[in-house]
Amino acid sequence: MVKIINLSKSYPGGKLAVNNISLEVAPGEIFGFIGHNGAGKTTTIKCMVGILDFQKGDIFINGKSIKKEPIACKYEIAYIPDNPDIYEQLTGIQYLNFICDVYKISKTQRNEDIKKYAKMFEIDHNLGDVIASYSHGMKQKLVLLSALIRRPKLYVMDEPFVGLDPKMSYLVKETMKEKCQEGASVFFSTHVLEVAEKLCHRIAIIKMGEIVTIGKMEDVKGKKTLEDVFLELFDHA
Amino acid sequence: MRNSWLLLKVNIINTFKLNKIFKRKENRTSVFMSFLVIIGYISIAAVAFLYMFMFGELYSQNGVPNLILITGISIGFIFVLLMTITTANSYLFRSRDFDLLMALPVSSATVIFSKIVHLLLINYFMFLLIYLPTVVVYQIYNQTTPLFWLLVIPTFLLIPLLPIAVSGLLSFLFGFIPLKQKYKTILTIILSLFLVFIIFWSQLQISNVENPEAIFGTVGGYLTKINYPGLLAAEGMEGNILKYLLFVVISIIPFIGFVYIVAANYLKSNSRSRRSETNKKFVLTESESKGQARALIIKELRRYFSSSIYVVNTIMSPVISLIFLILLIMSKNQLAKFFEVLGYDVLPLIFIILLIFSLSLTSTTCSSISIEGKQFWILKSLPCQTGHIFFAKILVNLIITIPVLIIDVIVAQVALHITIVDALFLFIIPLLVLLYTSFIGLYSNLLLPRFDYENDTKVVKQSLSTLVAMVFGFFGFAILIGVGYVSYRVFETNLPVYLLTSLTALVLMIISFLLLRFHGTKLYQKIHP
Repeated sequence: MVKIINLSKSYPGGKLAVNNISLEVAPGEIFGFIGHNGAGKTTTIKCMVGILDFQKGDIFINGKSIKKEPIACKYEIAYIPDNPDIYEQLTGIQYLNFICDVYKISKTQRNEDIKKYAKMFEIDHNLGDVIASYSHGMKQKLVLLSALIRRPKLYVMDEPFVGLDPKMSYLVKETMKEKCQEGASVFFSTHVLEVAEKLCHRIAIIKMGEIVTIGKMEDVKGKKTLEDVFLELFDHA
Repeated sequence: MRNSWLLLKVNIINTFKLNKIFKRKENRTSVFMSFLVIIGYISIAAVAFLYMFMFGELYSQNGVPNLILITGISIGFIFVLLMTITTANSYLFRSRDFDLLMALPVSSATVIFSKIVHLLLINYFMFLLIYLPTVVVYQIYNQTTPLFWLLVIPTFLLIPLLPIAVSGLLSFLFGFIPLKQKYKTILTIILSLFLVFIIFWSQLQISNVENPEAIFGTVGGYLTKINYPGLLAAEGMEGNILKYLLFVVISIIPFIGFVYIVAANYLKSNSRSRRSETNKKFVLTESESKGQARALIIKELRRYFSSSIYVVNTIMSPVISLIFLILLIMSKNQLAKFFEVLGYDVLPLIFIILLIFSLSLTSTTCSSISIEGKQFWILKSLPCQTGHIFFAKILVNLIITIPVLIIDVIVAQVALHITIVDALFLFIIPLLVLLYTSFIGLYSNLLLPRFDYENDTKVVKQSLSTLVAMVFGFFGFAILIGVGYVSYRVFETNLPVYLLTSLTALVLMIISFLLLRFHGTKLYQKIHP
């Protein structure tokens, strides 16, 4: 589903944020992307979803290059950023309809999915309010809802568990599993190692823009905990 | 006091992006941008000088050169009033950095002091553009005394205080109106346009005086009515110390009152503005689907009309074009001698100049990228062609301007019976200029986007892209006027002037389109919010 080949990205001013990283995510897989603050996780994610351009390498989404066919790739992706900054002057339902219109979601599908997920996330009564009045958690729910109604093949999530209450956090984890069983892939970055350990089929650990370890969860951690592995990798630097 | 200065320093660094300008690694771009800003500021100052010289010449010929001072002061007064009335609310009473500031271990008074000083500094920076030409031109056409020069700086510091106090208090009172935010936005837009109408209407009253000599006497009368403190300041600088003292009192006391009210209500007002509005009766119903292009355009329009400052600042140009036109039509009789000399054929040409001048002032596009703010990631992640996103942004500017342009043409046609050819070019040339300013405005914003702002004012009124777009607008205007003037001198009939000016406007429009289409698209892709 995702194939990153020798990706390098530097920012104006010369700062190298990501240096020659390569990885693959298979269909139906939950892939965890772990690293310190400033390691290059968000930069990699933004390159994957077509928000940032990059100098070297390529990223393929379902066989299509994000550089050469960005629009086709974006139809396959639902991106959930670390901060739910969405159009505050719109109401929740207006935002969802805007997303559906842009992603060309049929009337039947959108009505069915909006009802289903809005009820599940308990925001069905708030969709008529302007987003400016939403709490941080409600905005996160709305962003997640807007991702789910697209029925994408790839979910790209940047720190999806930050700011969620326990119930919502559980719902998100269950939804991730459910979507993978349906054949979609989930690529997410996190600091919460326990969640990654329980949820991910495979992980990559990124440090100063380079991948230091990648593989199946059981291969990476062996008999240790993921936290031990992570700390060892960073303490021995 | 130390904390106030610290806050002020941070605010100034943030507002003017000083770190970016002085950052070594980005030095080349920063130097270029700083150069553009300086050019922009100088261009505006040059236009202000030009206007003041025109006033100076006119007043001097009619034996009232002393009116230069009161005119400049009144223009500055109105300018500060208009600038603050649209910014004070979002800056003082609906500030986005409120939570951050209130969480700091500093007193409310410290925060308010830094906010008000910042507001003053911005206003002084802009007021200087009018005040400096006024003083220089006054000195050229009048005998000045040492007292005049002694009072130049105190007057400069005092004049903005009253308009800031008045507009700040109005903004404060506005917060008490028990309306939903969207209705308040509409009300703000209507009131601001009404204020502009009143200002122009008072100008119209001046131009309605039939005896040309009386006009200049009446100018003083009207300026006195509009801005009595300004008259006191002007007469004070000319030697009347008592009147000057009265001006000082009139300026300072309301300002102290304003500071007191802000200090006493800062917390309450900001908390009130954060009250959330919920729709308890909402029931989720079936949604209709729209096309991608339509969805993008509707989203742009919703964003545009949700910000009163954005609307007021950009709708002024087309509205002013209509007001200019009406003023000119109503002044036709007084200008009869002028037209007898030049010929009535020149009237449509003057209309065109007025229209392209007002349309080149500003455009919605010069802040339409920055206004996305932290939500810019949404646009970048959407499966839409960059061209479609640009189109939606440009269309907003056309939607608000073209109807006014059509009304302009109809008004000119009905009131002055201009020929069909005149009417046609009265539409075509401004339309091409409108497209040019839309393209170049968007391009300017792509060159200089700004996403880290606390309120819309900072991107709509105080951003570099707005200033650069204005410089591009003046540049286009100057070229078109140059071509029009030369072709009129050569051919002495309107048609070749129309054709050559249209052709030049078309070339400008195509160049700006190509710049946006190719370099603008690359810039868009490189922006990382």
